[in-house]
Amino acid sequence: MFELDETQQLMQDAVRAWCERELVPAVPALETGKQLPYELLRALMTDLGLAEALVGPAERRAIKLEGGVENEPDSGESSDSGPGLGGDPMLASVLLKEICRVSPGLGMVLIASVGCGTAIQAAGGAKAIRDYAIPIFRAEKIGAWALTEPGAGSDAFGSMRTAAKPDGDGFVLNGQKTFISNAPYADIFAIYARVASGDGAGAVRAFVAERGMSGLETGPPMRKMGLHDSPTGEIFLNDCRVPAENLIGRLEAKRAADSSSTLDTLNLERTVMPAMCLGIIERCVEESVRYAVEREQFGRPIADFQGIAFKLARMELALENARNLVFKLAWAQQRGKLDARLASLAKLYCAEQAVAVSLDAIQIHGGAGYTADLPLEKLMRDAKVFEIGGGTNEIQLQTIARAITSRR
Amino acid sequence: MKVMVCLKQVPHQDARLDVAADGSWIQEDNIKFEINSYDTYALEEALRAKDAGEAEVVVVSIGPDRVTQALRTALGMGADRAVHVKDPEADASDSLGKAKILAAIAKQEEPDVIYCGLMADDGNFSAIPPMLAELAGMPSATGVISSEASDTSITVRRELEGGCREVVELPRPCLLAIQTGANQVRYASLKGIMQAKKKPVDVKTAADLGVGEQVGAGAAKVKINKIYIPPKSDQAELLEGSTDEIVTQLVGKIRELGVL
Repeated sequence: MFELDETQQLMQDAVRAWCERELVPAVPALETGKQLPYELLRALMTDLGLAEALVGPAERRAIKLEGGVENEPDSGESSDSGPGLGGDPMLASVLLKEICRVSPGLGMVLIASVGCGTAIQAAGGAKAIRDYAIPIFRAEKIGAWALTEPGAGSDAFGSMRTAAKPDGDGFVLNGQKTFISNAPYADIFAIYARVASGDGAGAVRAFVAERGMSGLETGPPMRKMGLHDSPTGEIFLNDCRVPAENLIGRLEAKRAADSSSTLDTLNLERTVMPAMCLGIIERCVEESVRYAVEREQFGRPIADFQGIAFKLARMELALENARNLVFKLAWAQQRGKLDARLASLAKLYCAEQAVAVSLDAIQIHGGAGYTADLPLEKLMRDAKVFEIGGGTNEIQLQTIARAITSRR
Repeated sequence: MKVMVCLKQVPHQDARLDVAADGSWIQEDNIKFEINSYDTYALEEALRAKDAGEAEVVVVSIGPDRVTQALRTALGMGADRAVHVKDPEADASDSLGKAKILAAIAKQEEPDVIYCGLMADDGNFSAIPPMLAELAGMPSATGVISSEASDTSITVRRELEGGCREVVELPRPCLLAIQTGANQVRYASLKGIMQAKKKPVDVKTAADLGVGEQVGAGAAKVKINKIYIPPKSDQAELLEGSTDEIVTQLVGKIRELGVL
């Protein structure tokens, strides 16, 4: 289980070839904002057949719902053989790892858009799947998944102020979302809001809104430390009316934790982010080893100096651990054993190590590592977001601690 | 129509190449391999023929276990089945020996067209396509940048020097050696990758193909004496000064050499 199987290896080769040919040449323009990432996203999804792989299960689910099958939350099975892309969670991990070796921003654009489609597919009705999820999966439309608010970050559910008020055969949304990937350019938004009254009052549910709807506006792309290739922004909802079928899930299905389906999505987010961090770690280790062996100072390769050698050894340890966690996550997902503890453990460790390893990589490369001529300073700036987005390191620690203490 | 594509797996273009201790070839341990770039264009040309009509695409390669990955990649891109000649003696053959193996496969498969890359990124011999065509009794064209098949023939455009093009018609069966840049090579799709593991890969030895006696190191007429990296020369002279001064010095040096 600690090695890629033949199919996963082929996936890795195909994505790497795509990245080398299509993505690497575009990085400077993406980084300076001269190019938006969405044409590349479309190319990625069509060239590698991701669109085809995502649309098929969504269509099957829509047909099932149209046939009168009860709208129970989707099991997440996207093929006959199991959960995840192509029925194997490791394939999505390999895909994201490879993209993030070059551009974590494009990885973020991908998971934000597809994550929106997946949330709609998981609990939405047939019409919402056909109108919104499938165009996202076909990469004809760009999706955004909107949870965070100016006053609701780590306490996203407890402090959520965006409200959905039942109104005739629909809902009226009011509120504001921030730090939302793809928001400045997305076509379709999965917006989390607290139901203001009636059935399910107080529960947090997701509602689909489209660009162009009256009362929905987005802000310009934010200037950020990293992820320059992933536009991030705000969403403003001012009496934005959405039809009833745009509610994802059901109002009355108020489970013990009414935010559990959102937490499921967060858990899923936490399962893809470790793979994204692994891409950063793997690239940094490879670049550093190559450089340390070739770069000579004082008449010998710098890899011969203990200060560098020990750093490389610790980076390799982080790589091995991160890789093992990504394998473990896929293993757990495949067997229905994924829980919040494991998702948080993996996300925390991989995010911390992506930052630490990318900093070490810059240090090993010295002045060259500090310049934008090498990919390392970008990867370091990009790595930092993984300690914040998808739940901060501190929230992951809290989640892990709660999980292990509640067992006693 | 049946088409056969000859693929070679070569060291990845970014692989660090070190000469093996015995100087016979490069050190292959711990380096990444990929399909020879010329061969990817040949494969794409074959897959386009398949897209345009009813064609079965059979990919063929000679090499050790690692070659399976190249063949599976080709299957993931859309090829229908593969033949893998896994035989140390086959690996040790010179170009003629390998051409004999491929000709033996062509005899069994009876393809309407054989697509090869014009040359290999590693060996640079450009020898196998014309040798294979001769052994298989097929007309051939090299430097091909596009091909169009009719029921009985294939019309190809060839790249000549100075930007010229040549249009050639060949009767089928024939062999085409494809130039890089001839087309836009597709990627293996997720669906193709998922299907690749179910497609047949036929593993053979040179003996299975009836050419065991004709190939191998013993039968090779061309032997590699050594591989080496040329020693760095210390004869370079750096010219210094303003651009005009450098140009003046440079012209003087060229005159000294009697070139001008």
